[in-house]
This record gives sequence, C-alpha cells and structure tokens, in this order.
Amino acid sequence: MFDALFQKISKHREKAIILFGALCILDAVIYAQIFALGKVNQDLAIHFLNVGQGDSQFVILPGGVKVLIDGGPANGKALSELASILPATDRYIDILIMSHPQADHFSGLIDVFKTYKIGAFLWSGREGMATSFADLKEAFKTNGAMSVIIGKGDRIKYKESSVLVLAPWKELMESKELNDTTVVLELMSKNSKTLFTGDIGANIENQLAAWKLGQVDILKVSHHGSKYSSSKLFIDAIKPKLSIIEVGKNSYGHPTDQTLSRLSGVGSSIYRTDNDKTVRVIIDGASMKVFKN
Amino acid sequence: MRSYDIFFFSSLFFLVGIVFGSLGAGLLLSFWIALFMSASFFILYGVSKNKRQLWIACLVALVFVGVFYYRWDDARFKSARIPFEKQMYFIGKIMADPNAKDEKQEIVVKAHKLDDANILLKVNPYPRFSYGDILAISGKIREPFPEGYAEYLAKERVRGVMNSPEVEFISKQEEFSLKGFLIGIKRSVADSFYKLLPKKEAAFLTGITLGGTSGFSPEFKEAMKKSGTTHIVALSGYNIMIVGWAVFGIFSYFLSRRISFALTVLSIITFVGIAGAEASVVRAAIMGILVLIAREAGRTYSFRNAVVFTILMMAIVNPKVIVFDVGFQLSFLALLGILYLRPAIMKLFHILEESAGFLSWKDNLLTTVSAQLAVVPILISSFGAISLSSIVSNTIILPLVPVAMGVGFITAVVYHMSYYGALVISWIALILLKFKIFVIEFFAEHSIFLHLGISFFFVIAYYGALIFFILAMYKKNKREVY
Repeated sequence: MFDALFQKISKHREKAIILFGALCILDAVIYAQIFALGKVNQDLAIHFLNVGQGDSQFVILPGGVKVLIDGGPANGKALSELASILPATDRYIDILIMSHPQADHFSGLIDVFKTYKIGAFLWSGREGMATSFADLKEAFKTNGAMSVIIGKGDRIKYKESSVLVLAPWKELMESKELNDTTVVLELMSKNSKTLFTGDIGANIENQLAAWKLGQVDILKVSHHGSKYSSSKLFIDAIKPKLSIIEVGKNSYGHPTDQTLSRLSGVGSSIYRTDNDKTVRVIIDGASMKVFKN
Repeated sequence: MRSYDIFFFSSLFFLVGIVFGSLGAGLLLSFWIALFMSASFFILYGVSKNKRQLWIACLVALVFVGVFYYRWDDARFKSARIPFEKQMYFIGKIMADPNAKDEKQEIVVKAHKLDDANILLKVNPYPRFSYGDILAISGKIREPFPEGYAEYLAKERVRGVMNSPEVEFISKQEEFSLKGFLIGIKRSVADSFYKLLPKKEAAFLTGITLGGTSGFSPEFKEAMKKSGTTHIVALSGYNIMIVGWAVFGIFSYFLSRRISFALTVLSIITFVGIAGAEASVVRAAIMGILVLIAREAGRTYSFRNAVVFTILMMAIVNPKVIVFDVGFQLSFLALLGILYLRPAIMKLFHILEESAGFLSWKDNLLTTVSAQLAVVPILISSFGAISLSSIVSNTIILPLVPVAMGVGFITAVVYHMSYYGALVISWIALILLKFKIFVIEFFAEHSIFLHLGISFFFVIAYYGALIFFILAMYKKNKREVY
C-alpha cells in the first residue's frame, strides 16, 4: 500500500515539494507567534509619540495591556510610531482614550480605528465640531469597539496598575472651551505616578493643585507647552521629575519660554518630541530610564 | 503592398505624427514639410512609375494627420476658459477615487461652471471624500507648474490645481455606478491590508497590488528610487504582464494551456476592475494581455498588426499617452523585448522551448531578462538615477511581485470571511514584504551610482546595440537553417 502511495507522490514530486515548503513556512510562522505570546513584559513602558504638533501617548502596562491616549493630527505618524513599537503581527490595542475632541488629538485616531482591533474606546462624551469628527465616528462604528464614557472619579485597574480619571467633571463638560473638557488621567504603576493632562489650562490645573496630588514622576505637559497652561502653582505643587512636551512645528510659539522656565524652576528634566522625537520611558519599579529616538 | 502592410504602415506613420506633435512640432511647419516630401515622392513616382514611391507619398502625408490630431486634441483640452489666479466659487463632482496620502488627499473634480474642465484639489486628509461626491469649492485655481508636472497632469486631462481650497460636502452620488462599486472593492482590499499588517508593509502591499504610493514614508520612497524599484508600485502593462504570466503558470500547472489562458485573461480583467478601472490601468491591462498573447503565440509577424492596432486605439482616445505616459512606454518596450529579444537570447544560449525546468524557471527567467533588458533605460530615466545595483535588486524582487500580489488578494478575500484566518495568511505576506523592504533598503544604501547620466545618446546607443544583437542572432539562425 505504501509503495503505491509513494509511487503516486513521486509522480507529483514538484507539487509535493511546493506543498511541503508552504506548510513548513506556515508552521514556522505559527510557532514564532506561540513563542512570542509567552514573552510578556513586566515593566511599565510609556511612549510619548512624535506625531508633530499634536498629542499621542502609548502606554504598555506591566502584564502587556496596551493603552493609547490620543492619536495626534491626521498625518499618519501615530500609525508609523505604533508600528515601530508593537511587534509586526500585533494588531490589537486594548484601550483607546480620546482626551478631548480637537483635531490635533483625535484625527490620528481615525487611522488607528481603521487599522487596529480595539477593545474599548474611552472618552468624555463631548463631540467635536471639526468636520473630521464625523470620520472618527464612522471609523469607530466600523471598528466595533465598545464605547465607554468616563469622567472624574472613574478608575481603570489592571493587575497592580491603576488609572484614575481626575477630570472632567460636570461643570467642565458644559464649558464652551473644548480644552476644559479634557480627560485628565493619573497613572499609578510600578511605584511611579504619571499625569496625562491633555490640553487643560491654568484654571483646571490650579484646582488639581488644591487636591494635594503629591509629587509626580512624569508629567505630560499640558497644551504643547502653552503659556496659559503649566501654571506656577500647579507645577510647584506636583514638582514633576520628568516633563515631556509633545510639540511640533507650529505658529503659536509652543513651547513657550514661560512654561519651560517654570518647569526647569522645579528641577524637572524636560524632553520635547520636536527635538528628541519619540520619548520612551521604561519603569521597572526601582528605576526610570528615558530613551530618545 | 498587401492590405495588412498598408494598415501597419499607415498606423505607424500616423503614430509618428503624434509623437512629433507631442514633442512640439508646429502645425504649419509640419504641414509644409509633409506637403513638400509628399509632393517630392509623388513626382518621383511620376518619373519612375515605381508604386512604392506613391505609397511613401501617401504615408508621409499621414504624419501630418498625426500632428494635426495631436494639436487638435490639445486645443480642445485647453479650450476650457478658466480664470486662473482669481478667487472662484464653483460646484464640482469627484471623477476618480481620491488619492489619500498621509498629510493630504488629492481629488480630481469636474466643474460644470468651468466648461467641464478637471481640477486637482489638494486638501486635508479628513474629512475623506469618495468618488461621485458633489462638493462646493472656493479658492484660487493655479496653472500646474513646472512643465513636466503640467504635462503629466495634461495627460490625465487635468487643467488646474488648487492648494487647500475651502471644500464643503454637498451630496453623495445617489444612483448606482459600476465605477463607484469597483472603487468600493478596491478600498475594501486596501483596508483589509491595513487591518492586518503594520503601516509600512500595508502601504507597500497596497502599492504592489493596486498601484500608488499612498501611505509611503518619504524615506521609503527615496529608498525605492535609489534601488531602482519604484516601477513595481506603478501599475503598468509590464507589471500586469509579470503577474498575468505568473497566474498563467499556476493555472497551466493544473489545466490545459488554452483554458489557463482564458482564465488568466479573466483574472486580469477582474484585477482591472478591482484596481479601479482607471484609464491608465485599462491601458496597462490591454498591453499586459497583448504581451501574454505574444508569448503564447510566439509568432512575431502575425502579431505586429495587433500591437499597432492597440496602440492606435489608445492614441486616438488619448494622444498624450504615447510620449507622456511612462507606464505605456514600459509596457510597449517590454512587449517588444519579449517578442524580439527573447527568441534572440534563446538562440544565443541554445535553449529549446521545451526545456522548462522546475516550475519552468528557465522560461520565467528568460522572459524576465528579455523584458528587463528592453525597459532598462526607461526605468532608469523615469524612476531615478542610474544605479548598477538596480539590476540586482530587480532580479531579486520582480519574481516575488506576483507572489506577494497573490498572497495579498487571497488575504483580502479571506478577510471578508474570517479575520483570524486572514491574519494567519497575512503573516506569509508579512515575511515576503519584510524581505522585499529589506532588499529595497539594502540596495538603496549600497547603490553604486553610474554617473554616465542617462543621455539621449546613451538611450540610442543602448537600443542600437539591442537591435544589432537581435539582427545578428536572426541572421545566424538563417545560416544554420539553410
């Protein structure tokens, strides 16, 4: 019987070789995937993505949950940056957070919705006036991600990490100024505290300062280093060890000298995405390492 | 002269007229020259009664007809009255699938108010517009600049350019259109690539399968230029030929040649549909199919008229194609390469048609090499500087192009049935793409530039040498036979 089979195969030798080769390649790929699954990073990694004049931060929590906060303007940079951070076969992001509906924060998310599978989309519920906001809603709908409205006091917990929503609260949500509706996040993980402030102005910062947040390790400097944000009161209250300014070519004079001097006044190390490109901070619980691209 | 010769030579002289017209030959001057030459040959005929001279007299007149046709078409194109550099407000309809790039989208609209001229708009990437949308546009229309760009746009029948005009969406196209439907398929194919692959690889795969460089980083575009591989993302008959012939190879592995051939042509037509059925793609497909037929038929003389007829039709539809469309030139030269150079090379190495080898690699290699040799000067002059390494990079990458396309299309089809199924298949694509990107970037970095410059003289000398080689082999063959 085997002889007959063998004869049959040798008749179609060429086809058999091709089939066998194809199977081998596929096997190798699948095994590579399985091995990659076993390797989960236990450090906290925060990336301040170089997306030009706009905001986008990508956080990988210890244990591997991926959170993207904002996507920068529509220039495809957020996608390229994500592609260089994530393994090529990873097409999933657990949580997408939109700080507030301004084009330099959400437009890049349209592409992210179009290209990644997303677990949940967290936002304040405030809709934007920009014409491209309809594109965002459309892309979100097609993506099939879950929508979660968040506000002050909400908390995301994963293993030892927790993300607390500090703002906005009801009164801010009614503000005409979109920047006031920014979702402000406090990330506690690996003995470190990081503040993501979106585009909030001094008015909100000063209220946060009154809450005695304590010293902050890493601050995502508000509003690309605008002089109307990063008030002296706020900066003195939180004394960030590391300040990262997400900024690109712009006509507003961001980041302003006032902001830079307030930050350096408390001894903070300042990094900016226009000079340092994407800034990556790795925290293992005992130390904090900063990498520039 | 026999009737098929009459057809061949009349078409040829007409096309020569179109080439002269494209190169700027004046109407009046060419009229007088043609008249003078025609008359001279006619007088010669009167004296010698040699019929050949009568024919030449008529054919030379056809050159003028060609120049006239080109001029007439150009004048018609430029007849639209457009108030350049003035603040304008008009309604336009999107006529082709918008080209979405990272930082902008390029849209071609037809404006009724501007004598139905086509205007190119460069606007923000979002909100994203679609084929058939009606838009209200306000801003200043500029004349395209510099000249090369203007010629390129004229070939696409685009008359003016607007940078960041104010655009307001009015309505979507209500009625069903086949083109809109096909563009929908094209978009869904591209979307599935972006869902499954990282951005760079997804953009590259989209470029290979559907053409275009949207989503390419400037660095990668530069790398493709340096390695001389940009042409693989420009859909041309040359590309379609490579693919069609790979498809044919697969089919003929299982089926008879005739059925495989029919299936291949069918796949090409389907592909044209998916790629958006733009004029340039249709041209490419026709040329691609011609090349396939050429290779199948293998008889150059019976084929001559088919080629010239196709080109004639294309020139009548859009006379600017002949001189200003690189894709067309690539296809045409590849076709000539396979028709004439391939048999010559076979004779040189004493290769017989029957000895195909594993997966008929000899056959494939032979066709690639002959097509490649025929197009090299165009590839080099149109897609970047002359780099010696481009020959190596192309030899490595070209055979993988149809493989990547095949895997790409399978992925796109499976994607609509099962996301995870497609994800697994996309890993194969990923390996292929990563390898190709590696090759492109490697040869971009290690490109050895030849500073000959691609002069007109070089091109002439190159093709002169090729023709000499073909003729020499042809003669040698004759001697052997008789």
